[in-house]
Amino acid sequence: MSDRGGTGMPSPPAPAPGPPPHAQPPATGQAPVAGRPAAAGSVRGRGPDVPPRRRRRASFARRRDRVAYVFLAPWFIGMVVFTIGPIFASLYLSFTDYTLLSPPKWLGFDNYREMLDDPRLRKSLVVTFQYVFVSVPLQLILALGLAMLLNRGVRGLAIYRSVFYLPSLLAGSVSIAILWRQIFGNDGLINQVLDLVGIEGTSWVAHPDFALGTLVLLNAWTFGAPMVIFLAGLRQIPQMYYEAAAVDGAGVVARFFRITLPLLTPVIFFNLVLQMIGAFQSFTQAFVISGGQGGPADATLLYTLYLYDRGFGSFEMGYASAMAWSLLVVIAALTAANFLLAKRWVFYSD
Amino acid sequence: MGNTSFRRRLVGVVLAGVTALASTACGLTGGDDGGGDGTVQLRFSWWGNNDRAAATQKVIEAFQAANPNIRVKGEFADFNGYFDKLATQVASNDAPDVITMGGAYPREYGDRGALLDLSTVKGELNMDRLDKAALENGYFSGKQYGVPSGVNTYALAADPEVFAKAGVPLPDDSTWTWDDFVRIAQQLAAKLPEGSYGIADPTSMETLTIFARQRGEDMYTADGKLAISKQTLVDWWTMATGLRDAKAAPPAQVTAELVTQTGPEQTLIGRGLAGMQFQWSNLLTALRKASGHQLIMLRAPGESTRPGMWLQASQLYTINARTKHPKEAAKFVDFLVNSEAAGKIILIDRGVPANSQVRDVIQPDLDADSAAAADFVAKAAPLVGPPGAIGPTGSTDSVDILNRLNAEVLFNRMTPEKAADEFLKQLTAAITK
Amino acid sequence: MTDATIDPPVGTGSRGRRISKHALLVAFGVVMLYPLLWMVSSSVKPTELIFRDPSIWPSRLTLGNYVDGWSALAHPFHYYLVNSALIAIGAVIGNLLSCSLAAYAFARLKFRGRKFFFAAMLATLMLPIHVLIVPQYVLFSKLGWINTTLPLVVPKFFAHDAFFIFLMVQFIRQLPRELDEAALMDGCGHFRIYWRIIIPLSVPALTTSAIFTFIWTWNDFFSQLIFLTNPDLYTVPVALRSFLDAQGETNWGQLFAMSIVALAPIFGFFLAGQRYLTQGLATTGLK
Repeated sequence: MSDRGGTGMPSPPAPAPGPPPHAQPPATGQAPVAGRPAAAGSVRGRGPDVPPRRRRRASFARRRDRVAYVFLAPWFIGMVVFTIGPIFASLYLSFTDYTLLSPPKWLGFDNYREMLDDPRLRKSLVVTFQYVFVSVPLQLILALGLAMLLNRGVRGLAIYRSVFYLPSLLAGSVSIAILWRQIFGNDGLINQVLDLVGIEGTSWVAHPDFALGTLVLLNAWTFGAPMVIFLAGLRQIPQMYYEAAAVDGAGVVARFFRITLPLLTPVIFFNLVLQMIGAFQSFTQAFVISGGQGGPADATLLYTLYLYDRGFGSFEMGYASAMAWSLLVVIAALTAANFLLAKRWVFYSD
Repeated sequence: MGNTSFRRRLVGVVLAGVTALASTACGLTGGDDGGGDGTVQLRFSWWGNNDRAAATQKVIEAFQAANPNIRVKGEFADFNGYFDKLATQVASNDAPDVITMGGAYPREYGDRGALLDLSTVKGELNMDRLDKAALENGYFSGKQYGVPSGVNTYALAADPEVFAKAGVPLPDDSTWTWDDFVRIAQQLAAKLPEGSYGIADPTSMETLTIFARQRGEDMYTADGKLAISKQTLVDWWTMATGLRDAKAAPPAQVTAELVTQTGPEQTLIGRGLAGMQFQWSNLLTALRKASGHQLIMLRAPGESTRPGMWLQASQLYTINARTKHPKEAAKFVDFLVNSEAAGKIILIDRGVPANSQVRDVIQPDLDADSAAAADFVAKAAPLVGPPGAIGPTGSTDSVDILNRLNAEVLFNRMTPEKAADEFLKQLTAAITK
Repeated sequence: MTDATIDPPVGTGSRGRRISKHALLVAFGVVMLYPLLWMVSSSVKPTELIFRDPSIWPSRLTLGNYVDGWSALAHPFHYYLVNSALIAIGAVIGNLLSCSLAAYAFARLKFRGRKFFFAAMLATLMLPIHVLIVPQYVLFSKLGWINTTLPLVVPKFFAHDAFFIFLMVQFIRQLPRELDEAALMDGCGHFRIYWRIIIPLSVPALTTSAIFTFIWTWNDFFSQLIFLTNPDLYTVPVALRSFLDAQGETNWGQLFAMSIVALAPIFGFFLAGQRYLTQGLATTGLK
């Protein structure tokens, strides 16, 4: 469950969106072969380049570019106006004091300095890191485990897959946040069930020690989306490897660690990067379950919640921009680290 | 074939897209400010539950009947999200024309230039008949920014049925002390079933203010600094944790769960689950209705040493400085606070009317519940202390700060001493920004 | 993109193993779905029962929660459903149009800077929305678009959801180029190829994109919270949250009922289109 709500990228409660593990354009099959004439009826001469022909080819290339640019125009305009522009505006604003009621006032690095001293910011970072680094591995382990179970061919696979996938679609919604708040509340379902077994529960959502755990559980509940991707990845592993291993006498465990896991590493990497990026941007669940406060006692104060509070609660847009840029840097750094580390453990079979 | 047809097609697609876009946008753009035929459109916002909304709508209709060229559109939200939303609206220059405010918010917005100086619309908005003390709540930095919707006071609501069930006599609110208060809460707790409490968690900015004033302090000084002492805070939290330990007040997680549920129906006493609860007096009617019990108001403990309670403008009607129709907005506010028609509909839901004439007129109309609340204010009025200093800009953060620290204390994650230090530190930082 | 590439064959293995595997899966599935089932059953229970009875089978059935909850807010609930639907439909149209245009260019056209632009497009997928939201808010407030649906719908017409560009590019790449080449030799311009050939063949990818766009927009709380401050414009997520704040402690039954109503369209799309969803998901993960 990643929550990147906003006109930028409405949160995909289900699938983790994002770039392929290798962040290059889909190279296979698209390599432009220079000089291959594609226009209708044009000369396919293979003779030496004569100036008129070269001019025609050059002008053809320009025309081709123009066509492409026209197709890309909406996207490009959108990029400039809604993405690139705001990114740089955000950078500028992060150096100012801006409340929207009066023009921005230049502050230099004061916002960033304040961030370093801000205990609530530190708390929100701790909370967010705990959330990401506990819920994402948990979610992926569940996803992989279930995918392995389902991959061996189970009758009714489609039904199981749907059942496990459905929560991913719903989890980003306010409805589920409401449900979660009730069932983990003082008189909620979880406590009623615990009561049957004789354990007295507390209000899990309102207790500083447990509140974040309920959010972690909610994110783990959405393992269905990465599971589907794992299933697809598992399908790509050729059966003959397993057969060969079986012939060599390798047991189930050995087969898993020697064949499945290594060949699955690109998909694991993909899921890891995406789920992490999504988890860092999580907002809705924490907001609804804590009533907007990040409470109790800031136990669920995710970074994005604090950003919202400073930016749209107190209207300190400059500070919020500084926070946003810092988040960008953190995510970029972690993603870069992921990619760098990937060289060590991701195994591409091609 | 080629470029021209291509361009034509592309234009066609883009046009289709724009039309689709326009039709969704047109269907859903927010209200605009003026009718085409010379009618003036005003927007009016307030917080409250559905009952208050229904009554307010009736007031709006009465006003529109008397002023056929003015239309008023009401917007309401529950208290919890109201001020966040207001902040967004003001910042994007989309705030309503007439805005209900409370507490320190008028100063917060007034000092930032978002509110209209009401002396500029003196012709339409007559403030002469309004209670002077209540008007004070809307006056700062040399200007009158808001008029009081009514007067109320912060005190203790008590549930006689709960007291009776526990066999505890109701206290004498003219003499009781904080020690009496703690004792009574514990007595209640001893006899009440699981899930009911002697007192709902008592910590709020208002109770702290009362507590401080009784000791000769206040929450803020007149020039906008913090006036409450660390010792006062420590004593307060020591008492509060004591109540919790004695099970007279709810455990930490129950309080934490309720922090964001601000409607009267959702409070403990509103659900019949508490013997006492600190509340604003004008909510008595709503609480009685929600709980089904005949709740009464009591003066706060410790008042006999030195009065800590005060009379407060329960809500203030303010006008958006950037409204396009200041005169009409002023007319509407005048109707709200000065007209008998409005008074008869609202009664005391927004406080006892600050206009003495209206107060007299509605007296016979008050049902038992409203009369009880009005009587309490009348009884308490001569006994309260002077009006408190209005919180300076930034002081509206105090509620969040207090809620956070209170949770820390109640969950035993902070000692009262540490919490007191933090409270002073954080609130000072908030008001000096 | 057929099921054959994704679903493994039904396996062998001892009967005992298969039964225990099924048992495990069923148990896990029940645990997974229990909260949802419980919410549905609670919505037809009177509110007091919700707090006392954890079982899924309601001892007393009532539709009162749906009836009362429908009118519990300032407007009847269908008002908010319509608001959400209009925005979601606008978003779908915008995304389909603009993302398919861009996807065609990336997938089928060669042009200067293609690699660079593609990488830039992918990079935007990693952008946290929060970096953009403050300046976007400022921009929209200067334009006077705050408190309208424009900030939520207009960017979609400019391919702001780059994920769908990516999805469609992956799909279009799999379409045989011979069709394009034949058309080009016949003298068709690129727009014609796009409109007459690629688009009709891309219906699966378009459907997937449409469904995902609808669901994500329907669920989108953050931007609707920020850009829609007028209660008359509230969409379903924002209305639900204000319902929770105002009456959460006392009206769980109604709250659940309206939450179920809010989830119904998503569930509907899920049932009708899960093939598209899972296949679309899987395609993004494959090389």
